[in-house]
Amino acid sequence: MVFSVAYNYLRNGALAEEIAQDVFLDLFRNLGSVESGAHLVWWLRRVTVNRCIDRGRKRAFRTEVALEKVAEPSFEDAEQDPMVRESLRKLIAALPERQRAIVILRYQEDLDPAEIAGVLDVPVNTVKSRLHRALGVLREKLERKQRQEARA
Amino acid sequence: MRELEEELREALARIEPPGGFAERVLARTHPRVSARPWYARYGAVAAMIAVTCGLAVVGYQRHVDQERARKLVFALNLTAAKLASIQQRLKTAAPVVRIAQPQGEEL
Repeated sequence: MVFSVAYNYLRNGALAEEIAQDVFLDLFRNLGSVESGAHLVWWLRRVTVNRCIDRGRKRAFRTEVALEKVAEPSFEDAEQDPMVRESLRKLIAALPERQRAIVILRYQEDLDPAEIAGVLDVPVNTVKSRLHRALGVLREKLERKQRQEARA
Repeated sequence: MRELEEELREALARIEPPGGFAERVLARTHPRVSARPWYARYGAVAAMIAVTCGLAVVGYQRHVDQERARKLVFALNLTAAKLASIQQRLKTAAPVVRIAQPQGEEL
């Protein structure tokens, strides 16, 4: 979970491992504050996402994968094509930090908006609006490609 | 086009960390002191000892000062009691002596 969130957020294996290690070291130091299994999972998600957001800001990851430069995915054989998934991952990586975190928590960790709000410490409505906006951007980008393919 | 949310779930499927990850984390949880150079270790210990000694000296000095003050107050009380006793004895044993002032002289 920890490595996966970091990897999907940063799209960089070495950085994801570094963050995951730091998170577990943090956990090791704060074991006494963990109250239950559910609290542990919440704590891990929260610390991981916050560290990813901080690291993403420092390294300006958004500039590395600009939304417009991402190759458009093909949908002809979407069921099998791993390139579609990879393109989607790149599109997600190009989202703004908070939107990206929300999308990852929603679709990787399968959290509902209320749970995401608890992890990110923001109002539920903020989560819903950011998620809606992020899905809108992703959908628009994908549909544009579909139209281009239909015309061709 | 498949449902976007379904695509997202597949694209964001969980990824296992690379092999040896747990060992690397465990290695970092071992005492960090041994990873430091000798001068850093001894420096930290020396600093800790210096701080402890400093606190002990300050505490002792405060104790000595308090003891001195207590003794001074005791001595002053004793002196005051002695003086009062002598004054009392002088009053009862000797008549009041008046020194006559020579006429025409001004003090």
